[in-house]
Amino acid sequence: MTADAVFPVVLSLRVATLALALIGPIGVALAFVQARARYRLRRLVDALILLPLVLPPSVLGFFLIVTFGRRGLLGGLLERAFGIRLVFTPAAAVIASAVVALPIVVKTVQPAIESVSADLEAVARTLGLSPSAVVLRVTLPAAWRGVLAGLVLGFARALGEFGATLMFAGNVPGRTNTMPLEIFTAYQTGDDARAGLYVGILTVLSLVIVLAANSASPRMLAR
Amino acid sequence: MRSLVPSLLFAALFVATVACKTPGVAPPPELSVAAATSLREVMPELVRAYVKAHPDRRVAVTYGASGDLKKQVEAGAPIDAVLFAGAKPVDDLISEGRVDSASRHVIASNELVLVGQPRDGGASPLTFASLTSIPAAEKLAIGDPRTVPAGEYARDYLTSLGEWTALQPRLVFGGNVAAVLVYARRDEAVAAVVYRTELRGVTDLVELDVARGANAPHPKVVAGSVHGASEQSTAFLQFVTSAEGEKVLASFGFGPP
Amino acid sequence: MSHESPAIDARLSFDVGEKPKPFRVEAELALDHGILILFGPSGAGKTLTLLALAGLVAVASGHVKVSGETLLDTVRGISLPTHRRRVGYVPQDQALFPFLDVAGNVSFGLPRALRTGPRALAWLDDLGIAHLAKARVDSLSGGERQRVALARALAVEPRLLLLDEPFASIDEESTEPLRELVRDVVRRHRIPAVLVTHDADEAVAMGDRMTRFARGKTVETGTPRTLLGREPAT
Repeated sequence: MTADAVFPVVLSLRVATLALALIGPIGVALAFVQARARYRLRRLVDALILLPLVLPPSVLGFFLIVTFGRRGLLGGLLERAFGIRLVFTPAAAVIASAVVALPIVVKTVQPAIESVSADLEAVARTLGLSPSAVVLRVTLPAAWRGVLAGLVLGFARALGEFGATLMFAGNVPGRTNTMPLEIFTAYQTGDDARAGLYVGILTVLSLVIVLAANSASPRMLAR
Repeated sequence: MRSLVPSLLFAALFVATVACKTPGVAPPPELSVAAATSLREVMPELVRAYVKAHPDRRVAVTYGASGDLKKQVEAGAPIDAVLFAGAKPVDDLISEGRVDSASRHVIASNELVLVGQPRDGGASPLTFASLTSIPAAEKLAIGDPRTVPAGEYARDYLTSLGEWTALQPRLVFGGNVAAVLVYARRDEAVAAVVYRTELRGVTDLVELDVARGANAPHPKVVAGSVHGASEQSTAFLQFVTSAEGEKVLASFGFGPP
Repeated sequence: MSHESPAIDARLSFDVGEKPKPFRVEAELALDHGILILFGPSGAGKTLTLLALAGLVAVASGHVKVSGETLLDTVRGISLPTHRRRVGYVPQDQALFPFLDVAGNVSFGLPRALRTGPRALAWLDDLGIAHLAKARVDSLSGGERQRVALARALAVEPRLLLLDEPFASIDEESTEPLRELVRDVVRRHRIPAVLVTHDADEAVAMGDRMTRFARGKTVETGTPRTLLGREPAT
């Protein structure tokens, strides 16, 4: 495989990894808050977290451009203050992937945390652990299967992101052409061999990931 | 097992309802036209004028990059006539036996221009020849040369100017010429290469330069009837190439064929 | 052997739950030394009282003094958070950490440097489970689980031990040795304990003092023998 053909594979893996590094901790923290805290806007936050899961990718792409585009609410600010531009960069692909992966992470990790017995945490506190130490040394380890499954599935979703990425990061060969985008381009230009290559790679990768997630959290897919 | 029966019943009912055809008079046959994105403003006018002259006809238009539409025809989509932004996609379809060579018509011409945000005072405006002076962090938007004729024209012209390689890191591709225009309008790209007709009615962009010289492209709008299409297709294309059709095209900024 | 201050001096008043009507707990506890029994039917507020002593449930008004140390005093605005009270807690189902082995559980509260040291091993010995150090938690019998839970609570040298129905899920044969063990450990290490039970024989066998609960309130105190009808009540 030429360097040019390898690029989308490497890019997809890097984008998905960075997206997960970004949204993994946030997702787990959110899952924890939603599992344990009882506050007035909790249901609304729940719905907002689920939104990227149910909205069409074009809506997400639109929101991202309107927010982070050069003329957008945050985009203009980022450019003036830090000289950062997001559209047409791999960073935009990371953000799009992170946004769609978030609900998967939260919704997989949250029930795992909810099922951790309050007694375990109570005992840990009497043993001298501060509340944050309890989360790190008891809650998360006790829920590790769900946490792992959530992260792994989030990674798979990030890997397969297409619609919002196309709108927000654009299809810039050598810079933002992740595997899903490359498949689309190859199909459009009649290069079925190239499309088939990436379809094969993505399918195998996704299969492996789902198998891994399933064995970490066997009952998760049965929900 | 007990819950299966009501489900099956419901499914059967659903299918039966959906499969029922509404009884009554069959609607007049529809002409299905695939048109390049650059024609999205002028086509509705052409169709309206055509239907006014032939009230019993109906025309449905689908838009897209000429390369994408060509693929759809190749895949057997029920398209009767094509109007593409270049000769190559039409000629490809002809050599594949999909489009009738006798129906091939050049119906209009266009010009390739460089557009961008109006910038008051200060630095001199960009031209095709000075594109390499664009800062490294800024972008130049063109159509994807693989599927958009405007992108192919742009690539060929920039190559002839000796700038193509140098511009590579700054290029972003749009899936069709409208998308390219939008990149410029959103200021995500500092400049874009589109057809002059794209600027019609657009007040937030200005024409910075026009492709000229020996190597300048001569974009053409080329039409053809797909094999097996009804004679309606011939009638429609005849209308488009008639004096009235040419008048409509000219009013939208297209040049003579 | 008796301290200057009593082992336990506590008064607690708090509500739990909201709809339809909150459950009110009003408890008064006193213990000079040894084991205090909290006696009563289930739902009477005994477990809640244990949780309140540990600081795991908010208390509206009252105070808790253990061996002279004030853990809670609502009048003076003192309320130590749970992790600073040094109160050992063994819940009804022991709540062993499933992701650690026995040694990991027992040494859990110790500082990291000491977790693999002799201190952890000493407690395993003390409670007769040294041979189970590497065992997985889900392979233990009821009695063994209870010993692990006790060792874990004791390893951090608490000033008070809270035991919620510790012998409820143990088979008949193992109960007596376990009771001996608890009495022995409490006496040897001079750690006062509060033990929740609804079993009268257990109360008499284990307790130095007893407080009877009914519908959230402490209604009598005395010795187990007295309160449970071996002698006329005071």
